[in-house]
Amino acid sequence: MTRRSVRIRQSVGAYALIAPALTLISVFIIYPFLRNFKLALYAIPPFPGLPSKWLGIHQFTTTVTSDVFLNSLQATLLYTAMVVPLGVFAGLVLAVTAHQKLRGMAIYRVIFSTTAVSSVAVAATIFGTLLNPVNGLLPWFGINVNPPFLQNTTWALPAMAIIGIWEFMGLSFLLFSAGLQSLPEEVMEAALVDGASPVRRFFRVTIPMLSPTIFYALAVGTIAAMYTFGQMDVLIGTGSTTYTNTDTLAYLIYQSVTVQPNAGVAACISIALFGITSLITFLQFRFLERRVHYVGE
Amino acid sequence: MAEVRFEQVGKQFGTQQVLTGFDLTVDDGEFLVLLGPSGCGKTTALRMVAGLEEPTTGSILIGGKSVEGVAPQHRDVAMVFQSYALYPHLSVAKNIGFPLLSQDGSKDENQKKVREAAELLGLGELLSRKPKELSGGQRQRVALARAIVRSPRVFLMDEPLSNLDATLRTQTRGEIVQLQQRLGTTTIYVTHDQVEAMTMGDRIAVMNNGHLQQIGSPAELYEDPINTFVASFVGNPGMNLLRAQRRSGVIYVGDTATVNVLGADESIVMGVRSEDLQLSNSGVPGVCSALEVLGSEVHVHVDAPGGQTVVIRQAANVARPRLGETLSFIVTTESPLFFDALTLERLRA
Repeated sequence: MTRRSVRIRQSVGAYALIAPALTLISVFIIYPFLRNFKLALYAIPPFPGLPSKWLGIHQFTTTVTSDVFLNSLQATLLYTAMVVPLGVFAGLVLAVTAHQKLRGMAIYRVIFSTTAVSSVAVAATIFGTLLNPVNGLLPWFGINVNPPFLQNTTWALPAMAIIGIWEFMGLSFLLFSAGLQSLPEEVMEAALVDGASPVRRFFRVTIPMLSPTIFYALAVGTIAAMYTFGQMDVLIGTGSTTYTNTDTLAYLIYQSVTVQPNAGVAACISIALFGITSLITFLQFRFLERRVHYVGE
Repeated sequence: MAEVRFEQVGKQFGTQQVLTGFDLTVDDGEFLVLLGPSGCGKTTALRMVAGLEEPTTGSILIGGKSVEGVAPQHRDVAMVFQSYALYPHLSVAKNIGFPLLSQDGSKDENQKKVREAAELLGLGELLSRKPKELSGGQRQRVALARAIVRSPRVFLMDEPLSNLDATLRTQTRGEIVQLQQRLGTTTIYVTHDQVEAMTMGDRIAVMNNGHLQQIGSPAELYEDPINTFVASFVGNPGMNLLRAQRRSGVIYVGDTATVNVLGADESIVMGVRSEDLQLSNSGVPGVCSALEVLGSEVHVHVDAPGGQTVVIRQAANVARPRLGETLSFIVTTESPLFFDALTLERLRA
C-alpha cells in the first residue's frame, strides 16, 4: 500500500467519523443561522403560500431603531445587569459556605444546586405563587404593591430578575464549587501558615485564584440572561410584557412571530440580539480577561 | 528561634494510625532532617508543627509552650512546600512580602525586608516577575525567601528539592544549609532522599511506619544503625544484609566461612557496607547480576547463596566482572554488624 493510499484511507475514515455531528450541526444550526439572514431581508406574510416582499436592509434599520426594539433592548440590558452580578455573587457566597468542612454540608450542596436543574416553568410558577397579591408570601409579610408585582411597570422586571437570579445561582454555585475544589491545597495552606487572616485569605488568595471561574460565570450568565424568555411567557404573557417593561428581546422575537406575524422582523431582532450579545462577550474578553489569573500557567 | 518538642504524639486518620508515640526534640537552631520512606508519617509530623493537622494524642511544644489549638497563623513558623505553593497571581516581590502583610511593619519596612530576603537568595532582578515566568529553581528560591522574610521561630521544609533536576538539587542543597547556618533558625526538613539527609542535617531522625526508628548524626546512623531498617535505608547503597549462621565462633554465609566472632551458635543477619566487601578468587560464591558504573566507582550486584543480593563497591580502575560471570567475594572488615534474625534489632557484644 502506497503512502498516498494510506493518507486517503485515513482522510476518508476521519470524514466518516465527523459526518454525523457535522450533518446535525449543518441542519439544525448553520442552515437556520444563514437562512435567518435571508429572512431579515423580506416582509414575510403571516400565511404560507403568499409571496414575500423584498425590503432589503431597510427592514433591519427600521426594526432596530424602533421604540419597541429600543425599549426591549433596555429591558434586556437592565435584566442582565440585575441577574448576572447578583447571580454570580449569590453562587459564590453559597459555594464558599458549602466548601466549609462541616457536618451535613453535602445535603446543602444538593439543595443549593437544585435551582440549576429546575425548569424555568417550575421556577416561574413557584415565584408566581409567592408573589401572588392574595395568598402569596409577600402579602403575608405585609408587603403589597399596587398594581401587583407582575402587573407593575416598576416591579415586574425586578420580579423577573429575582427568578433569573434564583435559576442562575444554582449554576453559579456549581461552577464556584468546582472552582474552589480545584484550587491547589498547598497554596491555601501556605496562606494560612503565612499568617493571613480568613478575610485576607479570601480576598487576596481565593478570589484572584477563582478569577477564571468568575470570568466564565459572568460570560455564560450574560449570554443566558440576554436570551431570557421563560418566566416572561409563564407569568406575564403576550400583550402584557410591553406595558410592564418586561418585553425582553427574546420575548419580542417570539411576539414578532406569534402576535403580529412577520418572521422577517423576528429575524432582524434575532440578528441584532446575536450581534449585541457577541459584542458584550467580546468586550468582556477584551477588558475582563486580562484580570484573570490562570493557576496552571 | 525556638526548640520544638514532640511528646508522645500520635495521629490517626479514620482507622489509619499514621504516627505512634512520637517523641522528638529539635534543639534551638538545629537543622533536623526527618527521613523515611513514603507514607512513614514524616510529612504528617511536619504539618502538625505547622498547625495544618492536630495531633490525636500527645502534644507539640514550640519554645517550651504547647501549641495545642493554636491556629497556624499564630504559631510563627514558616513552611516551604514540595510544590513551592507560590501565589500565581502575585509578583515575586508580593509573594515574598505576603507574610509581612499580617505584621505591623510600615510599607517601607516591609519593602526593605523583601529586598533583603530577595538579595540573600539572588532574586533581586526578578522581583516584578510572576511565578509562571520563573524556572523551577527560581520558584524554589522565592518560596525560601517567603519563608525567611518575617524571621520565624521555625522553618518547616517538606521535600522542597524533589521537583528540581539532579544538578540544581545538589546546588540548592548546599545553599539551604548555608542559609540555615547564617540565620540560625531551627529547621525541620522532611525528605525520603537519604543523600539529602546525610549532607544537610545536623541530626537525622529516621522514621518507618509511623514510628521513630533512630535519631543521630549522619555518621552515627551510617556506622551504628540500631536495626536492619536504618542500616538498609541510610547510605547509598544501603548496608548489605546477609542471612548467616554462627557456628563455633565462625560466621557462615551458606557454607562459606567469612569472619570469626565469638558467641552462641545461632541464625543471625550480618550487615556489611558495600565498601567492606571485595571480589576475590575464593570466598562466598555468587553470580554478577548487574553493574552500575558511576564514573569514579562501580557497584557490582552479586546474587549470593539463598537468593540474597549484595552490592560490592569497587574503584572504576579495577577489572570489573562480566554480567552472568560466576565469582566470589570476601568480607574485608573484621567487625561487621549483627542483627537478630527474628527482631531485626542490632545485636551488640
